[in-house]
Amino acid sequence: MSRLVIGIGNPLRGDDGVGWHLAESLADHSDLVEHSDLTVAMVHQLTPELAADLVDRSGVLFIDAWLAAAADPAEAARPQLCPLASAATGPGSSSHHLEPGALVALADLLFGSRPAATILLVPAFAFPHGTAMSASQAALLPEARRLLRTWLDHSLA
Amino acid sequence: MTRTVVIDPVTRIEGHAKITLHLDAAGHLIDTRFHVVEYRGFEKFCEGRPFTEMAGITARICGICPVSHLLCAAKTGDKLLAVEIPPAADKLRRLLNLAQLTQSHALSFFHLSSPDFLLGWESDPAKRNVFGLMAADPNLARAGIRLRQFGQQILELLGGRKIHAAWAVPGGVRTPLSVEARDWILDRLPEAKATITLALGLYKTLLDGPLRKEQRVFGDFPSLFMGLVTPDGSWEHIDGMLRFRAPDGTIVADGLSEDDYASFLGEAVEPWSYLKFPYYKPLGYPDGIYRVGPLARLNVCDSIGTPWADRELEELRDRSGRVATSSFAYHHARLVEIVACLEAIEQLVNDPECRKSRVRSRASLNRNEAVGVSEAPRGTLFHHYQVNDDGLLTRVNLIIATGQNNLAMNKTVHQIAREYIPDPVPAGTEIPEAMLNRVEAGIRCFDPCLSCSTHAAGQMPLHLQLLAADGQILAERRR
Repeated sequence: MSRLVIGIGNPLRGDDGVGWHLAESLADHSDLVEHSDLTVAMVHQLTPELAADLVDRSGVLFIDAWLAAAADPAEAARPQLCPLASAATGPGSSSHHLEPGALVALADLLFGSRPAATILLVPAFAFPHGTAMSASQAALLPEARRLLRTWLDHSLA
Repeated sequence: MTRTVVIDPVTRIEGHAKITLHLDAAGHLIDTRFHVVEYRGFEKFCEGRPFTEMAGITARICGICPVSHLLCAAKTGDKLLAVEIPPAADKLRRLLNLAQLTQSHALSFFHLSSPDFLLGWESDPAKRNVFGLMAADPNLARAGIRLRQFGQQILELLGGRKIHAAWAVPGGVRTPLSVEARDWILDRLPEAKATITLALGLYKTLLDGPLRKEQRVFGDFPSLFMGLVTPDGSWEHIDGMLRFRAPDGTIVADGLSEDDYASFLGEAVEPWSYLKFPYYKPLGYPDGIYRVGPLARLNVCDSIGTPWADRELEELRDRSGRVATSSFAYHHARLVEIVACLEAIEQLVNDPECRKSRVRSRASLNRNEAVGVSEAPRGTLFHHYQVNDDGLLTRVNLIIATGQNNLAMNKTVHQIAREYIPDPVPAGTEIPEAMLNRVEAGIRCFDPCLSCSTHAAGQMPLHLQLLAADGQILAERRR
């Protein structure tokens, strides 16, 4: 059994690309040698055919941006590593976009695959055109990387 | 007082749009309009960029069919360099486009349209999606997902990534087909063929039963059809010459070069939509209505050129006529084209030429103007560039498949509304959701990509309005 990391986001829209960037840095990182079971993917958005990639995985980690303004209170926005429940949904799901929980549900229903799913949410503050992340998000990257390392070290089957 | 029904936004297509139904004072339907309400302006902001960047820039118009822009931009770049690309590059570009057609058609049929066919027009819209399909027919849903994955994976094997791969470049491509990629494709081909066999069998059964009426009323009208064909008149998707065929089978124009597109294609503008209305110039606007895309490609060609696909083409023509005029037949045409793609993919991956290392011709700028053409999943795509002596773009014109089907989409909506909306519509009547879904489904026959056609961003929910003669909104429905 292997593990899968999926970074989600648009790397050309500021903080939205943090999931993509973290996954990309993980793919490039030499210490991945110690995690040879790991596959890393970067996507702009989740589409149904990704469900097939969840087959035969012991664990899957989604990394995504999280709108900091939605935090309550906003100033408390911190990176979070959370278990992810399977959640088949209706109108919000489409051929072009799925929520992570819906993709997990799809993998279960179509392929009987039930990897332990986790999501790493990183607060996002600004979404301008361009690759630069905001100073607020950059300040949270060490914490995000620590949580990523936690998942890598503790999600082994 | 006249009234108007508006469907806004339209769902399960790419982009944002709405549909308005206009009624007269007596409640009779007098007009329908498919409005595209987003604007992105790629053509303008490409000005000043080096033409060599166009493959990368225009591929970002869309995350669903970026390969089409990538290939068309590369082909236009070939002509600016005035080079002949190596034979291996030609075949590898073909392979890329065939994989693109396969994955896009699989998306349209299995994910977007089959929920209507299998769950029914009146089914709960909250379940009329890939999850609903999964519950109704998990084998079909699973097979459809894996067929799309097959096409997507070939794109990644060739280009290094599924979307926005900058693999095709002016002069050729960057890398040949690896042995590993060839073996993976050959390994998965039997499953892909089994899936399309399953889908064709199911679809034909539906056509003989519950979908018989849709074939008749979902945009069945005479129009021209345009597409690329080979010099001997066979099915083509990346090279060749343009052909127009009339609904009676007559070839109206043949051997047309993309270089001369402005002489036979005009682009009209209407104040209520950002999507232009291309038309065949010799017949004027709007009589020069023509359709492009999978159905048009099958209507204009004499044959496909591979045995299984030609048998399926023959059956399509037996069912729908030598020139199929119903827009609903686009669905059947997509399945036949997937067969053609799988057969052609098998031929190409077994061709040793695709593994040769010389895949790119190099040259400096040798021309200041060029037009490229290719067949995107949704139809014929033109890129027209003018550059200065430094290779910087001074003018860009993109003619997109969905735009070319704009007149036909409007006509399709009108025909469906006439069939399913009460005539006259009593004042205060609620428009049933199932009727709205059928109107939307008429648009989905064309599998439109509005991000490409208006160069706009976003996904496309549905908004329908019923409007009075004075513009007052009498009824409205969103989802």
